[in-house]
Amino acid sequence: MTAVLAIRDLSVAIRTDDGLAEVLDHATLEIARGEIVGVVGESGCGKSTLVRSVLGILPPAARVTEGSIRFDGVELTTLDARAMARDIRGRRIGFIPQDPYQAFNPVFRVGTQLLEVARWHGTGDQAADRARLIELLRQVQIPDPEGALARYPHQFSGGQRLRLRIAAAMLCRPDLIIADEPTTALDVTTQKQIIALLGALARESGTAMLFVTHDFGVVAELCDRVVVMYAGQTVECGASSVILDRPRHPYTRLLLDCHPDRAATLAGIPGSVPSVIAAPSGCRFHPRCPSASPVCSTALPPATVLGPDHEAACVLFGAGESHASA
Amino acid sequence: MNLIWLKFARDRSALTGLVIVALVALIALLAYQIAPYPEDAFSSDPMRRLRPPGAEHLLGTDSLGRDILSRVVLGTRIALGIALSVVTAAMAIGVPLGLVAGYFGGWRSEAVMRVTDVFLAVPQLILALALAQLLRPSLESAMAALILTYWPFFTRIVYAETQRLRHAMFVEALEGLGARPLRIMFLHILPNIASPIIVRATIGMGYAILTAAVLGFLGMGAPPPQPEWGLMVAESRDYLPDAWWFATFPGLAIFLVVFAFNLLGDGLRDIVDPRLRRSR
Repeated sequence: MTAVLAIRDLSVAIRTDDGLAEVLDHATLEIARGEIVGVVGESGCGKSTLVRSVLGILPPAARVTEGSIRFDGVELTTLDARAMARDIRGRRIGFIPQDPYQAFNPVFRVGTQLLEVARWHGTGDQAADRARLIELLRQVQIPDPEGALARYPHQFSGGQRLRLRIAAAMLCRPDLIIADEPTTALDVTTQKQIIALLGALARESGTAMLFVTHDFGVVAELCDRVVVMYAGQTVECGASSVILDRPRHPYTRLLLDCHPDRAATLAGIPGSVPSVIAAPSGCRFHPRCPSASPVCSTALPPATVLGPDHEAACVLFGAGESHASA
Repeated sequence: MNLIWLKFARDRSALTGLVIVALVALIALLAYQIAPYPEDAFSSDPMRRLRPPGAEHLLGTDSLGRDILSRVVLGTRIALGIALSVVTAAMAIGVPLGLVAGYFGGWRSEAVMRVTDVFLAVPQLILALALAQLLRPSLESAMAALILTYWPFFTRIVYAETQRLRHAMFVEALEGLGARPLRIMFLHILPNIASPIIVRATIGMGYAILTAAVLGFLGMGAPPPQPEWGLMVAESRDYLPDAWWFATFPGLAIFLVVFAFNLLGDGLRDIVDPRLRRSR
């Protein structure tokens, strides 16, 4: 398996007035070429920080304290900001931001903003860029692509704006697209259509995708594999079908029980995601975990291989074969 | 766009301001064509000194026999020239600083904003006077002083607005697709905050004209025989109250232009930021 993106033991800390916040704690994730990987977790689990670390757009107060991010053999954590902006962001990694309603500069025409992306990355040939963009707009099913370029963002619906953002992300034919909960702000029917479209486009072009969401329904429809995060730690990862059918980590199980389609009684998880300032020691889920034991607070358990393409980090499986890198 | 014009057209005081400002700008452009005695800017004629307003000299003549109407008309060029250069220069300093401070935050914003605070703490007129004294009184020193005291206002506005937009989703989208900071600041954030800058600039025009007149009056601005309004009022002091026209018309000119810029600025602000609507 050749990984287009490999994140290993990534820790990110943000300086705040109240102290150091460890937003990511040894997060680990791998995406093979052409694979769609979902990252799932409650709000505040560090999903967006993970995305920003890969893109190299962490806020100024944040630092990568440990670990590595390798993109197609290039180490991104040490790459300088200039090269990151010129060669990686937008060019080799496409980005679809969170809220399509707010994702365009309101004062410029859509065409100007989309073509700008190609221009920064120095493709040079403006006519070709334009033709490529119009072709993409057709693919993302924007009616009247030529006319759409001359319109302003507020003249499009949320779903259409998201389609436009998808086109922007795909413009430079990236190897990887990162989508940060792009459909959360949309209504369910639009969301369904766009998820289907996104999946088809990614498969067709062979682009790998990192899809952040908190919706297991989206994962089931779109993702090959899924990574479950809790408070900055990777707790379980594996093929979507495996995780959805046989979740092993207590957090994944509880999270899945919150999904109305799957659980007879909506359980919910008592408590809430802890503050990452002075986060619980060891496994960060232990204060809310029904199966917690005293050991849980002492150390972060290593990821245990539970089957082909299925790992979980929990002391419950400590007896199993331990992951080499942990 | 049409909506903005409609709103503006309904605001009678702002419209008045706009009309006066437009008229004044026209007068300034055509000053040498409009002024009945354009040579009176500098040359004097003692034979017709201190004539009251009449058919030959609509607004009378001054202590050196110069036509006051001509000098007031020629003075619009100086007043608008000062205002435009001061506001442009203050913007050129203040806006980029505000953008940088607001966008990057951290030590850059601390450094910029503390310096801004220092400049805001200096009394404007006193700094202007000190500078004029230091550099020898001239239009240039007055303008330098005005620029030095006015740029912090732009920095503060731009800083606040940039900070607000810094975390807008479209900025993140731009960053995520590889836009560099300078491009984001100047090509994307700046157009979004143009309106508060324009409002501040309009109000700044009135302020610059007024302060330049004050400096002229105190002998720290334009040197004689320039037809500068503040200077003209100063020269008239010895002839009051008999030659009332000497002081009145340059004074009225100052009043009208500053008033018009303030009306216009207030009106623009109401359109740009309805939350700050003035009570009437």
